[in-house]
Amino acid sequence: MSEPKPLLKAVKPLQVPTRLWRGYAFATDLWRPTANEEAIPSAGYALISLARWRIEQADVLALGTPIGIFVGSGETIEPVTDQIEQLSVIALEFAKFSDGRAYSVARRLREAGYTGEIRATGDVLIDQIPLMLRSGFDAFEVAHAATVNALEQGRIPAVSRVYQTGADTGPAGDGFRHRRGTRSTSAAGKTEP
Amino acid sequence: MTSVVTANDLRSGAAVYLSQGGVWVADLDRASVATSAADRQQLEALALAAVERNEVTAVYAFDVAIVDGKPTPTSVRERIRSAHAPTF
Amino acid sequence: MYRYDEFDHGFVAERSRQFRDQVERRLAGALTEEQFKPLRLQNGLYLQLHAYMLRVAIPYGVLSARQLRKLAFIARKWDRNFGHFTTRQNIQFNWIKLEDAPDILNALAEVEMHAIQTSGNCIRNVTADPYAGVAIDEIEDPRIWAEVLRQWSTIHPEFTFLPRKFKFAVTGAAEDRAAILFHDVGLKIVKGVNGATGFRVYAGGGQGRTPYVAQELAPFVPTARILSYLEALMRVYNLHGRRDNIYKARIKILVNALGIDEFRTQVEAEWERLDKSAIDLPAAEFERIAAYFQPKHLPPHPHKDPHIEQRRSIDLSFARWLRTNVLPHRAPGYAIVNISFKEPGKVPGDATAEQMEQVATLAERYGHDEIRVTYQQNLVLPTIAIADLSRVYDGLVQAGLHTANTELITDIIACPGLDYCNLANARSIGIAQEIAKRFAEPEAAEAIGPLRLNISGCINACGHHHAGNIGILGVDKKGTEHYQITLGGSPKDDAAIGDIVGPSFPAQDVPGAVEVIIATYLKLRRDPSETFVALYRRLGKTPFREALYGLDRATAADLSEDANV
Repeated sequence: MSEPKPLLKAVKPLQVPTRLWRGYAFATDLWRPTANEEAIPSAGYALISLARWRIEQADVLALGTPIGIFVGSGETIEPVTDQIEQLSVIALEFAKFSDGRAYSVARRLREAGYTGEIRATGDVLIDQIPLMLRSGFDAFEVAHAATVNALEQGRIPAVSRVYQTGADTGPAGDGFRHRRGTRSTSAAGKTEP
Repeated sequence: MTSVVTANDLRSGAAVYLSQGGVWVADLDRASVATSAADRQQLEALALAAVERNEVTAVYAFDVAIVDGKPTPTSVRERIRSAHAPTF
Repeated sequence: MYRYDEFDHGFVAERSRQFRDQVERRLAGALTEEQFKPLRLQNGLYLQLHAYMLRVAIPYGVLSARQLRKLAFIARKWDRNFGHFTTRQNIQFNWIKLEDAPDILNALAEVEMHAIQTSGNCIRNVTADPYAGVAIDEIEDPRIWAEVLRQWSTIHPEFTFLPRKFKFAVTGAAEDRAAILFHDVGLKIVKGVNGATGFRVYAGGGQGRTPYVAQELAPFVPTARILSYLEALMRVYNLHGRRDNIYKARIKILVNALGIDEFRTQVEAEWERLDKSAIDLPAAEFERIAAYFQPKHLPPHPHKDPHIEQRRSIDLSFARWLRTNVLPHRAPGYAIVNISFKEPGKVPGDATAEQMEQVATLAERYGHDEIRVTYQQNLVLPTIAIADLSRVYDGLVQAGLHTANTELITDIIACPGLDYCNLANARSIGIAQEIAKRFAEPEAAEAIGPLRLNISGCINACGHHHAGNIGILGVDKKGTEHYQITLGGSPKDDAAIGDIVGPSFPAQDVPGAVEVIIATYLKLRRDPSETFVALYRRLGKTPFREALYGLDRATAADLSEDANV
């Protein structure tokens, strides 16, 4: 007795080539993941691992080109030092959409004053994008077909009323019942209250 | 090993059983009984198709004994489920 | 009680629309079950043995008559004419269709109710003392803070995908009536120096496979800082709770792995970094919410009513009901009335639509429109004038709700068990009914005295068997239903996890085993004022083991502590 094991493996959702969605529009992605042993391209725009960043920080910054890091599920950036502001992009992985650790990593970064791009990567689905926006993400690598479709058609689940202040809801104006109003489609993740 | 494939109807949540021709029925007596690995595979393929058509969810197989020619669950859980009602 | 304003209404309406859209996408195949399941669970919809089950939130157990009538309407229109009250002060409907769920959520929204976050790996219903606002031993009304926490935790973007579910409970009285020490976080309102109000914060309690009593995390957090403190706590849990094993994912595992001191250090370090002003509740917002919970002005009533006195002297059932179910109220001339949904032979915690409507009527006529749901799966009319007790009793008799057994042996907490639940190993309702029948004589139950008997159909412990003075756990022993008995648990301030008494019993032997346990207690107690749990603390399990398994077998090696199946 007790819950039986399902007979069939979960049906795999349709995937498409990954696209970058940022500022409420699809954008060309200049960034490439760079393996630990690989040399960083001369033009930069490399996403290196958190471990590599920790070890080679000085060398990497000395290159003077745009640099970003990739943080896997379960990795935390602790402590968040001032050097983090040198990173143009921090990509946080959702290994599974139900693994919510990256929400906290993003919040910590924003609370520490990080102003660069925080990008969601991995199992990024339309229903979670509003939560990610409120947690400080402003860019999304999307490979799920239905999510790409929804974004193309501007069908982001409406969240006009929230009970918590968040990264994109501005300062705590009238306490924590923060009314959002309508979302602007051009601003880079910032919304008029 | 004789077994039956079951699921929940997606819309109603009712317990249903896979019967001849891939039709899902509420009555366990009418379920197809698999007696070989080949039978099982065939039932699984039909079940997968039904999942993909969004007709059923939570598909699995369970063991039955044949009593008076009818599939009878060997577990309390499946007995309760096949009655579609609590037992008190 | 809290009333939704335009903001709250809009919030729930938006969520209902989203869920309707999610259901439509699921039925059309745009969402797979794997993607839909967490969305479905976040709206309280489970898939069970026979149908979907919808768990509707009743925030901190407070209901208006209008809301209770709507629950009755839902039971009639979309279910089989009944609902089930739970140990988290919620209500469950067992026979729901997915395709009806969006309409049900709309119906709930009409009366300011919803099913948001009653399932899933998120913050669940914040429960509280069912006598909040009316208890004689109350320090401060916990409902205000339960409402604050409810809003703070509703679709909190950072905490929607926690390692596992998260449960808060809040009390504001001397006695703990909300089992706070068995919650992930328990909050007790206390007064600090200079009469400042704050919370004693407990963390890491829970039932299930590995039960724990919560430990004190902070002796005093000022109420003005509680949200930022809890935000820090939740963040530590979200980041460091285990995600590799669902049986080890609750905060109780993290707290006990780190130790309470290290856990506290991490929470305080996070708290230090937070911008508290962005999270803590502005005073004006606190005042706005608190205003909804101001004590009602109650017309004065005499605390002795001649009609009541006369009736109690001649009507033994009425007199007993007054003794067992009715408690004094903080306002003189009033009483707290417990309504038992534990008539022996009926399903514990189940209410028919007619019963719900009768309670709503009594609340409207005599009860200032308010009803509470209790941890014990019963209802309460928190404010009844003593002079109205006779009329209220008669109204309850009409609906079969007059059983005089509050906190007695037949006031059994039982989960739905294998008759309904996908997770269960064994049935619980039939066992509860059989036990209750053995003690159905009202004199018998009253003579035994306070006794918490809890039954769970599986180790997930939704029946809170670990916290039972007598706990019964259904297990699967080679394909047959067996029941393991524990003794000496308690959900109150003396919180304790029950001890396994010995090998499990087949279903048909369980009521007899309980009779043996009770007979042993009655034989050994000093006097009727020594409760079952007090006697257990004094004598331990040996006399019970001997009585159940025989003197010679009780010492045999095969009756070791761990022989639990």
